[in-house]
Amino acid sequence: MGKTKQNAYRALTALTGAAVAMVLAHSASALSTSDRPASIIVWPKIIVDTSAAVYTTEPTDTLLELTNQATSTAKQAHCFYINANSHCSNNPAQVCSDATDCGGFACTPGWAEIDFNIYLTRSQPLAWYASGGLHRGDFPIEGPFFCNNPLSNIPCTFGCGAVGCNTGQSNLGSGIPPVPEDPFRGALVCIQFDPSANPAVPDQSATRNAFTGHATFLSSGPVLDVAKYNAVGLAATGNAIAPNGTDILQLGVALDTTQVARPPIPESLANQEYEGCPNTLVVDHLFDGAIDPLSSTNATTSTELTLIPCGNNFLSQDPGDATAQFLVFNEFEQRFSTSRKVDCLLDTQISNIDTRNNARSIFSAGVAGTIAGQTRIRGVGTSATGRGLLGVARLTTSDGTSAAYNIHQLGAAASTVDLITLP
Amino acid sequence: MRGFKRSPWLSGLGVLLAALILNVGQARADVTTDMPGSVVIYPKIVSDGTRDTLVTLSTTSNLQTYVHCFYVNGTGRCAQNGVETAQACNLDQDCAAGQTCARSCNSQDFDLILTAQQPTMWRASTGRYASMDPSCRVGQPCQCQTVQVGPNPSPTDPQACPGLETGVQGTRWTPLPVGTDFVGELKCVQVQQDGDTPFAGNQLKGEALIEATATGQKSEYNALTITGNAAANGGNNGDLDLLLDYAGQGGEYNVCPASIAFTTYAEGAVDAFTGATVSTELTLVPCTEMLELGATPVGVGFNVVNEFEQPLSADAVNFDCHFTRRLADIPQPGSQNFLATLGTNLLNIRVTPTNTLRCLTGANRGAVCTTDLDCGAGILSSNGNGPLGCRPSSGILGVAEEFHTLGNQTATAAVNAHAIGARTNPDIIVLPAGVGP
Repeated sequence: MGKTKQNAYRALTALTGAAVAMVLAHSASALSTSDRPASIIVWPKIIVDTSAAVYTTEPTDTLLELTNQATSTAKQAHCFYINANSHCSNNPAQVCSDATDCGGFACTPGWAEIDFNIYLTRSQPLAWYASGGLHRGDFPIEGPFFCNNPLSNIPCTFGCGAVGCNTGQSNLGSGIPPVPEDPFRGALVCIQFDPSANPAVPDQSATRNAFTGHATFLSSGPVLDVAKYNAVGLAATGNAIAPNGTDILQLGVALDTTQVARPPIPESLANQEYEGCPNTLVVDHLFDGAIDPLSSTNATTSTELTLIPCGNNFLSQDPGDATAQFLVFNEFEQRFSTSRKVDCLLDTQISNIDTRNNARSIFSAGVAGTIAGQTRIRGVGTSATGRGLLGVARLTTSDGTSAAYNIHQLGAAASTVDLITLP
Repeated sequence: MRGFKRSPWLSGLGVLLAALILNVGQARADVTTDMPGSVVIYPKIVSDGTRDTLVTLSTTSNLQTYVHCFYVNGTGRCAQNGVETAQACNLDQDCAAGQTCARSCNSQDFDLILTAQQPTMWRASTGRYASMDPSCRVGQPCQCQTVQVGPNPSPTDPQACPGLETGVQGTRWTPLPVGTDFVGELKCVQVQQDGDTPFAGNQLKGEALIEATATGQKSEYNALTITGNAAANGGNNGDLDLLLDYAGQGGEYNVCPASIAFTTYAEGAVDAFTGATVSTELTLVPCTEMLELGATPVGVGFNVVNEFEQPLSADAVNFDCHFTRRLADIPQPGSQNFLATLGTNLLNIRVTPTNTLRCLTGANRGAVCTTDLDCGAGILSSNGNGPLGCRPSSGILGVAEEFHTLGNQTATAAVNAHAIGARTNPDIIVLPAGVGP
């Protein structure tokens, strides 16, 4: 009997120890951030529609800002535009948002990425319009440069010989293409690289986590409108990249052992290269169709929600996907729920998440019964790239104005890792 | 042998619970804008008759959540010999010679009770009445109704909006109205059921929507949250002095950032897409706050790098409790570096608290000091009887708001500043005693 008790005690101790280890390991994994520098910067929503043809009612562009907060070292950003435009099946050149744009033919979803490099000097801010990019020759610090001492008065263009040209920190090598289409709807992901390595590698040095970013939606027309949000960041942990190779970035720690079956996903905490994506997103919003409590013109409200998967395979051009589960709470403590597939990118009015009839949606004020709501969003699924989600919200009103804001996150990082595979 | 007489199941459960409790305390050790916390700070609440603010506050808890909130009035008035004039001001330099910019930093408080996962919102100018009427129904307008409380309609008549009562039973007002002459801060603290005792539940989050009521132009930012350390030993001790000294091990609430940073247009730069001229307004509030005791003196410096990697700086600015100012209007040497006329369009601005000891209270309030004796007579004490004398200059938190002007239109957009590093000096929030429901 005593032996049985001892065995029970040991078994429980082991079980508890494992549970504690899991709990602590889980908590050790931090989350994404929208208010501090990081090594992976994600702009979940970029809109370009300079002729107001598909996505907007006024000509619209997005100003993107990327800043190197490292005060002494230059950094390289390896960036990927994600083009989430859909196209008409009867006219592949025509961008569409749904079949009505195609005269009844199918509006086929698409996903494509283009990548480019930006070199930022210490503390340097840089901005560009998504529609135009920033071409070589347009960057702030591209010369002219002068030779090293003792020929420091001689421009490099005259030839420096063995002395060499002193380019210092500069934007040389940078080139930002315009988004591939106008209209364009998509996202941007920039990964901090260490340019001092040869070849450059994802930055896990002491000066990692140096990037901050903003996006500003600019609309001109009868109503001038501006909305700005912080790019979402994922901090590098400082762990070596080697376990996954330099081309697979591991976000978070794998606690879900079922995911281990899909290589190459290491379980070890030591292999975590970047902070994990959140388990739950929480967004406060006004329900669609409510009358803005501040408006003197009784403008009605609508909220756009944009979600993108954390993981992407840029090598095989395989976008991340997950199913977003929504739990919606109104001011009466009543709960509603729905779900929606996030394949590459979900950008929708919230009252179109669960139905095409906005007035019957659980996100409609008439159905919810109150003006304010809280929605919790959780990504689920079995995609090889993971199931984490990131996003941003934008409140719009019927008077043509808007305001963007970042989404809160809750709980520890998702129990599965997300993977970004670089080409 | 005696050890084995203990219940292994209970022992194991205890260890697991302890781990879970510890896990609650292992929050990211800094102030955030994207995670729930125990102290929620809205640095910029505007209700000036032209613009108003819609405050959103919600709990992420599955249990009832108790909240104690304070509006801190940051409106400044020029004063001479202690007598306030009608002229609004931000800094002493805004006033005539011999006058100072006086800011009472008075606070008014109210309590909220949120049910599980409940979101709530209210209009700052009017507050919100506890009312479940009117209701919203499919196909009908869903809106708040104005409740006339006096013989004549008033712009501060409260709104009644559909939703469960969030106020304390027997109190018709839930969030108080601030009227239409208010610029300041809102600070909400998660408390226990008694309405007084701070509680490190880390379940509050919020947003603020600032809107021009006539044109609808709007800006929105996330409220800043300070995470409480829920550890049983060495965590939040439940007294009314909230120490912001938690950096991962021991301490009550998370430390403030060492600096805040944001990227914006240079003042007067023209946005090429819209053709609008852009100006940025920076709002700062101190991390240290002595609610109902007095204004917190703050000093900050600006370091700027433009897109040409040119480092620039502006002299320190001193203010009391609240600072809201266009970058072009900062009357300090070096602030011309914010202007686009210098040939730059983009600025990376870092704002850092001055690294000095400063008298929080006393006859020499705001002066640089080395000991409490330098602060003169009249040093106040916190609830824990700690002297609020010579302490490290307060940390800061802030938001930025852009104003894009084209012709007679002005569009606005707010954005949270980024936090850079963590302070090594603790801040303190002193709550008033005995104000629970």
